[in-house]
Amino acid sequence: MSKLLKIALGIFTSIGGFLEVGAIATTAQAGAAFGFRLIWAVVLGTICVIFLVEMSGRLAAVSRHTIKDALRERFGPRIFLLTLVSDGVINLLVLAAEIGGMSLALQLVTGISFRWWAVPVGFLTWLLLWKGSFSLIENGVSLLGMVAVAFLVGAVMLDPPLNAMVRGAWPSLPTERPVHYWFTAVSILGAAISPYLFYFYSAGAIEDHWDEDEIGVNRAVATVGMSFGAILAIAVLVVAAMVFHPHGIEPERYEQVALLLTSPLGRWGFYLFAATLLVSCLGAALEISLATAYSFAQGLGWNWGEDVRPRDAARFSLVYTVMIALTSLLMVAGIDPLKLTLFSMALTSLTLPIVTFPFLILMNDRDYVGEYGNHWIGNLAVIAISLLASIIALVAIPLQLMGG
Amino acid sequence: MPLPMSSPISAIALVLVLSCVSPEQKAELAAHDLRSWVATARMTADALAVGTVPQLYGRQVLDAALESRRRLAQRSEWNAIAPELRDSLQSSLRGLALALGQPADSVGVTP
Repeated sequence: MSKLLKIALGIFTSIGGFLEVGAIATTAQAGAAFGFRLIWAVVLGTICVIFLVEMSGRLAAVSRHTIKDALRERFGPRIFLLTLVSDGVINLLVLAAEIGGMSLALQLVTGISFRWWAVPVGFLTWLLLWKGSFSLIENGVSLLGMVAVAFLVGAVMLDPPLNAMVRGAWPSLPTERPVHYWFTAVSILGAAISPYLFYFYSAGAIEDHWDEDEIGVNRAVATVGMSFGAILAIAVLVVAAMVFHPHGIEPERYEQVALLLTSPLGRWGFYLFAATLLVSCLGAALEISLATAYSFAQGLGWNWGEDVRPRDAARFSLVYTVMIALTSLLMVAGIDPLKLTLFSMALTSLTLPIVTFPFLILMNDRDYVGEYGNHWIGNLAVIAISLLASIIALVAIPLQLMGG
Repeated sequence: MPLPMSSPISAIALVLVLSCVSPEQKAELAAHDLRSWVATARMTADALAVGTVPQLYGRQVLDAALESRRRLAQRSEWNAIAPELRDSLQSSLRGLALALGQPADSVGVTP
């Protein structure tokens, strides 16, 4: 495959991977509640995730290690287990939110409650993992995720004020409801900097047999792909700011969010919203399930690989099977998918340093990355953004839970 | 108000800690939720009128709005919400029910 084609495909899959239920829910909330004022959170999260995704691809290409197996080797079992437990809990919640998102999308178009859809969509996700290949998951579903471009079209059609958007890209203090403002900001950061994204990316680089020749491709895919993904997330925020904010609609249910695209795109907008939610959540659910199974298998030395037959990687397959079953049951129990999404995204922000700091040490260790170690700018950006997100989350989550 | 990039993170934490929610603020938040549902019901009724959303979606919004009203009405802040706003919710829910071809009184009465 030519490098240009690889880059193009990688960019498409990055865009599809970036926009999932967390990004849609958090940016829609932000636009509805605060207009354009939280665009900066998407920008900040994107800067951080570009660095992290690029680093994870570089680590795999240079050292032939995924993040998890390098963590286990470099830091020993304690640190590895800490990251495994932290990721495991977060991924479980986020996967439940994705299953909830898919179920809600089907509820919107059929009228049948999302609780009835949770098990069938969980089964579909599992079946794709069991029978599908890595390239089907990496490219096929992510390419379908391009339906999310509907938000960009919608945003352009609404002709938003550019000045206000540019002002929103610069961090500002809240003028009202500070707890909700900061909680929404950390939820956006958590949605953008989802650790499963770079675990999946690093394992994918190994599955695709990357070597040092791919470093340029990796940089282009991480930078351009994630940036386009962020543009789509900003488009969701802009549409919410133009459609919901002037009317004072602040969605507390997904049923309300579905009105987003009907203003600019009419009846098509309703179905495109449901399709975007369904496909983007399916893509993310596949990636999260795989990323969790990768984490266990790579760290504990089990056989792994999406292209390996399930019976030849039984424990790897068991992990994603159990994950999907548990999260489907959580949704059957009737947990509110939108609240779960926002909470799990904020929790992701809280745990970021646990994930990113050991990873940064790896990326500066010449035994692993040789001459391809991190530049100080990358180190500084990831440390600063992870710490900021974690500290705000530490204060905002309890206050939000207390009734803010 | 622009945030100078040099501001310490502790300032943000302080702002958050000082912003614990009083009963008045809770009532305002409840009113906020109510206004949001009033607007949602009106927008959905308008969308149904021009055919940009299907009927079965309108029914989901109506059910969700009724459930939210029931939940809000059980909270202590409910009585602090202005009667005009509660009336406004009642009228928008009736409007949505009519747009769905249901009798206006099928939405019950806002307490």
